[in-house]
Amino acid sequence: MAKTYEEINEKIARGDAVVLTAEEVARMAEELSPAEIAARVDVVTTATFGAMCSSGCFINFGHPEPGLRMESITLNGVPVFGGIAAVDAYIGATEVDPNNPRYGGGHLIEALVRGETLVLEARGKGTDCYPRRYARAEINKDSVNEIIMVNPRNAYQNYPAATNSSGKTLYTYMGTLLPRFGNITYSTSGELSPLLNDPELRTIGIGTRVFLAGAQGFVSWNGTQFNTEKPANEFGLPLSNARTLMLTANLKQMDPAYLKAAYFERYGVSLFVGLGIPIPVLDEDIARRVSISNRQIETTVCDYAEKGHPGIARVTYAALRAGWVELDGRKVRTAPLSSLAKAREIAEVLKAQVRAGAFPLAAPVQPLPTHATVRGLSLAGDAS
Amino acid sequence: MIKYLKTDDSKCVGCMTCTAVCSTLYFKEDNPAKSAIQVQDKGRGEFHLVACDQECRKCVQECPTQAITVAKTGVVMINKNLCVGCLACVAVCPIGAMRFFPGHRYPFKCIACGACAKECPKDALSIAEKEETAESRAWAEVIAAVAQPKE
Repeated sequence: MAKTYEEINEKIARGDAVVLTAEEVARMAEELSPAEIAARVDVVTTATFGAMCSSGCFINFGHPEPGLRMESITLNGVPVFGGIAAVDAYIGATEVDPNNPRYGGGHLIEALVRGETLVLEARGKGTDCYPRRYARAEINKDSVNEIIMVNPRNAYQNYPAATNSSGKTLYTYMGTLLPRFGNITYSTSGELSPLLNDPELRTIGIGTRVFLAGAQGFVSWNGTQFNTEKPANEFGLPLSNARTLMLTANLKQMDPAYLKAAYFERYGVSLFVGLGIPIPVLDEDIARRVSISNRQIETTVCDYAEKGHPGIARVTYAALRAGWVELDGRKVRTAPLSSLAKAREIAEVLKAQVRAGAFPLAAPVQPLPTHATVRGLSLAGDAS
Repeated sequence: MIKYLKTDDSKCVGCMTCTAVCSTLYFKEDNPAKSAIQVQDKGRGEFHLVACDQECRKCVQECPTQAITVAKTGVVMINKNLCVGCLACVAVCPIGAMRFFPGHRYPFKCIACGACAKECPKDALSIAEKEETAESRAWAEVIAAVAQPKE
C-alpha cells in the first residue's frame, strides 16, 4: 500500500499519524513484515550526534562606518575565512587559534549558539570605497546580521571503525587508538543513523527538511566525498563511508543542547553536530529499509597503523555495541565516538515535532546523484 | 596527592560484595555490570580486581568536551553537564576501568568513595594515597588550554 507525502501530512494534521523512531521500528520489525509496517507506520525519525569536522557557518558582521573590507579576520584570536565580500566570513569548525591549538572554530560556533560575546578583529588594506584598515568589536548572535550554518559534509552513511596494529599509540580523528589492537572506535549511530535508513536516498534529497542542532534546516546539496559506489552487504547497506549531505540552517535558531565543540588530543578541534531526519514510510520498500537493525548493519574495521588504513575485518553494529569484538583471535574493547544517548534524544524530539505538525514533510526538490565516486589527489613531483 | 582505591588481588576470594555495594549505592541495583569495580575470575580460585587508578588520566586528555577533570583530591571525575555520552573515554581507558551500561546516558567510574572497601570481608580493598607524577599532571595543560580562549 503506497502513501503520498500529502496523505501523510494530512494524517499528521488530523493527529492520526503514527510516528516512531528508527529503533522502535527495528524492534517492531522482529514481529511484523515490511508490508504490515508500511500499513501501520507513517514516519520514522532518525538521528545522529557525532563529531563532524566538515562544518562551519557564514557570518555577516554588518558594516562599520566608515567601511572596512575585512580581509584578515579573527574571532577570539581564531582566524576565520574572509576571502569573500567585505563583511562576510566563514567560520570553519576545525580552524584553530595559532597560539592555542586546542581552541578553535568549533568553540566559536558553540559560543555563538550559546549567545556569548566574541571579540572580532579585522584588517583590510583600505580602498576608496572601504577606507578603514582596522576594526575591533564585540559581537554576538543578536548583533550580527546573519549566521548561516553551511556544513559541506555531514551525516556520513556509515563510517569505518578504527584500530591500531602497531606498537605505538596513534592520535587520530577516531580518537586515541591504543597499541597492539588495544581498542576499536566507531562513529555511527547504527540503526538510528539517517542515511542507513534510506540507503538509496529515495526520500532524502535537495530541499529535504532536517533537524540541525535544534533548528529546522535543509539538505542543500550532496555532501562532499559523496560516493554511491561503495560495496554493500546483502541488505543493500554500504560497508564503509558512502553518501553524505550538505546541510544548511539558521544558527540563530539552534539549541546548544545539540551542538558541542570538541577537541581531540593531538588531532585538533572539531564540532559535535546533532542531526535528525524524518523518513516518510511511503511504501513497503521504505518500510523494509527503515526496519534494519544493528545486526544487519556492518562496517569495516580499518587498521590506522598501515598506509591507506586497509580494512582488516567486517563487524556488525550489534557486535560493536556489545563492548568488544574478536579480532585476530583476541577480545578487543569497542567504544563509539558519537553519542547514542544524544541521537536517541534527537530522534524523540523530532518525533514529537513531526507528530505536532511542526515539521512538515515534502518530497525532495531534486534527488541526489545516483552515481558518484571519490577521487584521490595526484601530487605533482615527488609524492613521498 | 592522589586518592585512589587500592586493590590486592591476593586477598580477593571473588565474593562480589564490592560489586554489590557499588552498584547498589550508585544504581540502586545489585548488578556487577553496573559496578565501577570489577572482579575478573582468572580461574583456579584467583581473581583480578579492576578499578580506576586515578593516575593515568588518559580519559581526561581524551574527552573531546573536557567533561572529565581531576578533583583536588586527585580523583578523576565526570561532569555530566559537559558530557555528551560519546564514550571516547571508554575507548581510551587501557584497563577498562571507565565503564558504560547500555541504555544509560553517561559513562561511570570509580571515584574512590571507599564504600566497597568498608564492606570487603577480606580487606582486599582500601582507600590510599599516592604521589602525583609527570604523567598524572599532563591533563592540566589540556584542560587549561581549552577551558578559556586567550584574551
